Amino acid sequence: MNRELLHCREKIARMVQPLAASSGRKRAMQEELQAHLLAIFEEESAHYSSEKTAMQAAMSRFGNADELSKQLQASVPFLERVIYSCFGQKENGMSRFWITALVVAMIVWGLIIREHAEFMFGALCMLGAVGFCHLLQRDNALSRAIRPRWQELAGFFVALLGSGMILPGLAHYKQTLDPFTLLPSALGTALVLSGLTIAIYNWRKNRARLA
Amino acid sequence: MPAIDGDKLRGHLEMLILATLEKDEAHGLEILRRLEAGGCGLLKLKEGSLYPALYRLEAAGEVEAVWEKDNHGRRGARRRIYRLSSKGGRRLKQARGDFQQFVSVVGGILGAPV
Repeated sequence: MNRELLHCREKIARMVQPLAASSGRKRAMQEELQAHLLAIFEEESAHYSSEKTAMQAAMSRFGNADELSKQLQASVPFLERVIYSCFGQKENGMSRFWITALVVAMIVWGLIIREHAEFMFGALCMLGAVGFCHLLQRDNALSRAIRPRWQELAGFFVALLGSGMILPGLAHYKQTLDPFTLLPSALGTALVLSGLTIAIYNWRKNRARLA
Repeated sequence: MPAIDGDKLRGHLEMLILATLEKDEAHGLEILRRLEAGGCGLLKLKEGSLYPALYRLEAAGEVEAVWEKDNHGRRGARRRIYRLSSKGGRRLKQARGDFQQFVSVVGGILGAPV
């Protein structure tokens, strides 16, 4: 029985681990699918004397692993799929090294060329984004509290980022009167509007879900 | 009578799950048992494909799920208990109306008894 339990876990892990999804979601999927597969294996064991045959019958009832993996991937929310395709799926020591090197280079460059503080700001934003993604991958009280509302928070931070770009752009325009210097302000305004839209939309969606 | 399998069920599975949960909350295996009982053994569903449908419903806010607190003497992993949300109830009501209209229109054209 323990060998078949292990076999069951391996089959489910092969279906779930490659998915582009947060580790919390994958863990929950694995646990739930394992519970189901184990339950139907125990049902089939009552009909077959061989555990191997019972497991084959259970897997036949459960469905094709590749097809199920595709269906599970399609059930992951779109934004989460995109984010974990970029940050979660292939993240390893090498990609962490390059992200860290890029952030450090941007901070150093920002310190050298102080009048272009956007490099420092960009580096801090990138660091914040990577940290946020890492937090969502963990399974602790804070990540469980944040995870259902991560889209609202992301929208809020995008709006905050945009608001930080508006006034410096306007001040620069006031000094130079060059219309091109308004571009950062325009981009900042667009970010504020998009961020607020995302935050409010998801806040209303969560509120409706809890109602 | 031929069995109703995956291809024919596509597009209807979520509504069937919502209808099943309307009676009472249940975990995945229990939902399947209710579907089989309701289909008089003619519904042939690959059991694993129930879960992507449940996750889609959960993401849409139409069902809510909590981990069971007690294993009830079972070995192995925990199960999640699903229940219908108010949004799911509204969608189910609308889906019933849509399906009745579908049956009425298509059945009329086919000449099948409605």
